[in-house]
Formats: sequence, structure tokens, C-alpha cells
Amino acid sequence: MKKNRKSKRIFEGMKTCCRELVMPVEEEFQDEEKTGFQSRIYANYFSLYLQATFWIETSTAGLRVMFPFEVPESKFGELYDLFNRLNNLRYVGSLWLDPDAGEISLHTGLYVSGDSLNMRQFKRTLNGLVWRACTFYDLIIRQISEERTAKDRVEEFKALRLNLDDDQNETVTQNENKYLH
Amino acid sequence: MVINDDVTKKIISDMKTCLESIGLSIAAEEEGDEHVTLYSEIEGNAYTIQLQVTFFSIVEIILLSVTFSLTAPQESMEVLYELSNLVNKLMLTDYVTVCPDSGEIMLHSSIPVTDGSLDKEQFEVSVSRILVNGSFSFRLLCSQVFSELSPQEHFNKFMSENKGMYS
Repeated sequence: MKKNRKSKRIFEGMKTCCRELVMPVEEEFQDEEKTGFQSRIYANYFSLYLQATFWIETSTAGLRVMFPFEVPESKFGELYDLFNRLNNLRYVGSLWLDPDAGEISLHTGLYVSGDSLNMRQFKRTLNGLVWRACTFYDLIIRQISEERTAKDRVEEFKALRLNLDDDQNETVTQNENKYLH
Repeated sequence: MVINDDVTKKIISDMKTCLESIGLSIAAEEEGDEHVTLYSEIEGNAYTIQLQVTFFSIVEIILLSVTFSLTAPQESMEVLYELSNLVNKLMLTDYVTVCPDSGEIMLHSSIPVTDGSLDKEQFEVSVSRILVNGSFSFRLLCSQVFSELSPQEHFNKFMSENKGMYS
């Protein structure tokens, strides 16, 4: 009973955070292990699905962004390479591919201590994950459609970021820092 | 000490206390302009696990990482990337990477710091979790290097023999 009250409170906290960040709560789901909902992220020219889940047994709030790409099996190997290299850069979340469904996701999780959600922490994590998903969107789509090694693509991505830092591009750097984690 | 504000000092001090309370001693400490890193080492039978805890004061985040002293051979990289992908699908708070150049196997996670203080319970659980998941992932990835099975087959076999290990 106590666990149920806790998960309900955390679930409501997660929903409030999403609404405050202008992500509409769509479908809700619940079973013995978890409680959560699906939402949508609208960017400039694309939209992404977001799944927010509270795992009751491990007291973990999970956030998963799903990309709307259909990945041909011939590209799986390149994407495993790309995701490993991007994950190695240590931004928020990890990229992975579901080989059965051919779906790509970026996800992360936070252990929730006590009886309620730290909403500032959750919103920061959500912001960081969304920012990162938007950054990776083009990289992934180009890896699927173009002939280029994952290594070259990530090196170019890293160089671009370094140049921005070298130029002291305050707007970009500060903006990234705000969303990075 | 480069970082000398009271908030950062308190967070570093609390991190040390938490690490000690879960039985980890601080092997080394490193300070930069915007970060402080604490290192701890755990000796295994055949390898050493290094835990690295870094607090970045500017962006207010703690990065946790676990590195293993054994490295993967270059010819295994492709299968290890595929296997890492399967592991990362399963884990939420942590994720595994294989360094493409050195072959180092690592696990990472992060904790945003809000309200200028450390959530001790969250920190201790996160450290314990990354160590358990790290040790488990390392066994899985290492055994793949010597296996004839595909990453998916190896993963399925390993998971059926070690039910409920990941958190």
C-alpha cells in the first residue's frame, strides 16, 4: 500500500514536469512492476516519442526517447559502432537499437530516494535528454542513409563541437551547458 | 585547492563519507579548475576495477564511471559493440561502452546535483548499482571474446544463467 502511494506521487510528479516543459501527456500505462505514460516532443521539423516510467521495485524513474526511424538490417553493424562511440562521449543517456523491432532509443534513469520525486533533478535530466536526442537526430539519419564510417562521422561531430568552444561561441556553449545534463 | 567554495567542499566531503560508508577507500584525488575526481580501486581475482567519481561544479553534475584493468582485443570490437547495445537496452541508469582505441570496457552514469547538496541515499545506491552492473557486464563482455556464439545467442545464454542480475 505504501509503495502504491509512493509510485502514484512520483508518477504525478513526472507528469507535472512534462507539462511544464510543454510535453503533452498522452497514453498512461500501469502494471505491478511500473507506472508511466507516453508523451510527444515537437522539434522544428520532426517529432519524437517520449516514454516516462517509474519502476516500482528498483525505485527508478526512466526516460526513453524513441526515434521514428526504420532501420534496415544491413545498417545494424554501423549503428552499433556509432552508438558505442557517441555513448563514449558521455552525454546524458545511452543510445541503443532494438534489433527485433529495428527501433532506436535514447534512454536514461534516476534512482528516486525518499518518497517523492526531486522535480528539479528530473526536469534537468529530461531537458538534457531531449536536447541530446535532437542533436543526434541528424547524425543517426545520415548514418542510415549515407555511406560513411561511424568513426569519421563522430570525429567530425567532435571537431565541430571543439571549434565552437574555440570560437568562444557563448550562445551555443552556454545553451549546451544548460541542457547538457 | 582550486575549487574552494563551501558548497563544492561540502559535496566532495559528503561523497567521501558515502564512499567510505559503503566500504570503498579513496585511492587518489585530483582537482582541476572546474572539477574534483575521487578514485577508488577494488581488487578482483583476475583484474582490478577502478571507480571514478567526478563532480563538475560549473554544470553541477556527478559523473560515475567504472573501468576494468583487462582490455578487449581489436578483433573483438564489432561483436562487443553489438553485445554492449543489448546490455544498454536492459540497463537504465548505467550504460556500457568499449573504447574503440584502447579496448577498455567501461560503465558510466550521472547524477545531476540540485539545491546545492548531495542526495546521499541516491549517491550510495548509484555507486553500488554501477559496481554490481559493471562487474556483471564485464563478465558478460569478457566471456564473449572467447565464445563462438553470436552476441545475441551469448547474451541469451548468459541472461538465462544469471536471472535478475541487472538493476
